[in-house]
Amino acid sequence: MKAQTLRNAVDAHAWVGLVISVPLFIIFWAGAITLFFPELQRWTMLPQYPIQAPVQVAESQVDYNDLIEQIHEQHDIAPDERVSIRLPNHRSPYLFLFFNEIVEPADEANDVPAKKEFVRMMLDPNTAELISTEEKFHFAEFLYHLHYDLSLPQGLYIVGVITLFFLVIIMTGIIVQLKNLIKHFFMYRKDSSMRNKMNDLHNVVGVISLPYGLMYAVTGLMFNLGILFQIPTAFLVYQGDFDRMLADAGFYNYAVKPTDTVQAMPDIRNIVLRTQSEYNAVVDNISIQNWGDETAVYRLGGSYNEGFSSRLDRFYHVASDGFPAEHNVPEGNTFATGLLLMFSIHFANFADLDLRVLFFILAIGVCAMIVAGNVLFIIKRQKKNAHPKTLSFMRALTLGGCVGIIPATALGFVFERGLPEALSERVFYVEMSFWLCLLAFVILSFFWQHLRRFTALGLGLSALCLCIVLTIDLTVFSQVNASLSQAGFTSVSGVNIGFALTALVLAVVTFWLLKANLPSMNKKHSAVLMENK
Amino acid sequence: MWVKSIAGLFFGLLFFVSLSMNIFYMASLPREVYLLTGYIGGFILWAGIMTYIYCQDSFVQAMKWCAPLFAGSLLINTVFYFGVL
Repeated sequence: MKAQTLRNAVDAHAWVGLVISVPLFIIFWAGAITLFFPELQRWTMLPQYPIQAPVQVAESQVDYNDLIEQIHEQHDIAPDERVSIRLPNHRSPYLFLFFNEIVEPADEANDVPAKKEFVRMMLDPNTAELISTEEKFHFAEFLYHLHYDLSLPQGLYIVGVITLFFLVIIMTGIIVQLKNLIKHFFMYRKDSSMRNKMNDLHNVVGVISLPYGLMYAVTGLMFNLGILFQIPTAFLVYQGDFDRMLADAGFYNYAVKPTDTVQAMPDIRNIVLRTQSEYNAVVDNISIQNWGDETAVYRLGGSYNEGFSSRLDRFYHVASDGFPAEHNVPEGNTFATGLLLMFSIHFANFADLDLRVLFFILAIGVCAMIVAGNVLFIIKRQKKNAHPKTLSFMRALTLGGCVGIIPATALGFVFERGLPEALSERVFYVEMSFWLCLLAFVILSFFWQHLRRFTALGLGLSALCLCIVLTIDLTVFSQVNASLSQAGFTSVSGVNIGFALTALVLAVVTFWLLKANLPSMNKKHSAVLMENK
Repeated sequence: MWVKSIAGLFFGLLFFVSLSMNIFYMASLPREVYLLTGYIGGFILWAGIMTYIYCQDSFVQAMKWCAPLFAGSLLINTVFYFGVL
């Protein structure tokens, strides 16, 4: 390879890396935590809304037909509107109902459609008693949003573009390291200069996490920028026939209008049990459309008991008492199966906790690689003394953003656990605590001279926050947590153990950063010190 | 670098869409297989084109190879789309 090509690749790798470093760090950090999304949701909600025991559909005493009937009586729901039931499952022990309620009827004279409002009801899975209609424990969801849209308007596409550049970084990184990939495989020069250490850390983590990073870049692009492939394909290949494209992709949307011919609705539980038996699957959600009409269908979703993470999606047609081919795309569609496979790999939901822990460690490794790459870039530019003001700004911004998100997340958990359930606007306070802490660290990084102490402050504060969370759980929620563990809900204790281990690791790293004989990374002198070390 | 980034982003998008269409027209794959191939491979192609542009001294230099290829790809699509063949 030409030397100039290699130089261009190095420049692009460093420049693109620095520009996208903060959002990429946030995406990976939030994604790493989101790997434990179901556990975190159970951790936040179960002590606040305890239930007696986990419930299976077959054992449940809830009359689902009666429940849907009541919903239609008590709420103004359009005849063709679907009502969805999420059954208690291994991810969430509660029973959920979702539907759109008409709050302002349509004005047909002026061609104004009805105004609808989304309703979410969380019910006790044993008694179907209403627990809450509000989503008061939203922090896990907030972190998930942060992962895929950075909580920004049009964030889905912004994250998509960042992911595209991440893939470019991986490719330029491979070009740069291609020669040394075998020769210097996993080389880490422990007693070398700080710059060499950072370089080796960046390369070693980059090589170890290469398949992992590549997988996340490609799947992330598919989820966030898929529309850029769909639209031209729909127009150029399918001549604008979106329905045909969806059918070829293995998806189907039931859009039959009710005929106002009354039809008795079969028992939902029996249909769920029948589907589970016929398809050797576990059903975890049902969408009911055109309730009480001869055109009614039950859409049953879940996962097959066999195969690698394949999803069940079948339409049960009430009038014909079966799963007619006209409403069910053939199973095993290459695109749908492939997409679900990618989805499962991305979320690591095909595996149990052990693999998710491994994915978490790799994600944190990528975060460390991003910081190491930034430090390398800054050291190199500081030595050249080119654009000192821009460099100083970028140093502060990237450092403050990357370090600040860690205590911001920990503080979010403190507020999520500490604020009373009855407090109105608690979701706002929790999210605001996160943003304010992140902002404070970004501002602080502009004035803080020592990177090592600044990082120690962020990590130490995070450890302290996690200790506060554990203290709240051991005092305020100790009894309820004990009874939840006895009832078989181990998530709360499990997450608390995870928090305790994380706090310990953070405390050890903080102590090491403060006490270890490392060179100071003073804004003005870090380059010289590191080169001389 | 900004020129390479922005121009590469848009040119890469056009090129990947065009090449995906070439695959559709020229390789007689089942539709569902084509959709999956385009969906996964298309984005890798896009990033690959951008990487190639970054590795050149300038966007204009990158176009010396990319532009004729892109023109050829467009020509193939035009021929198939309007049913000349």
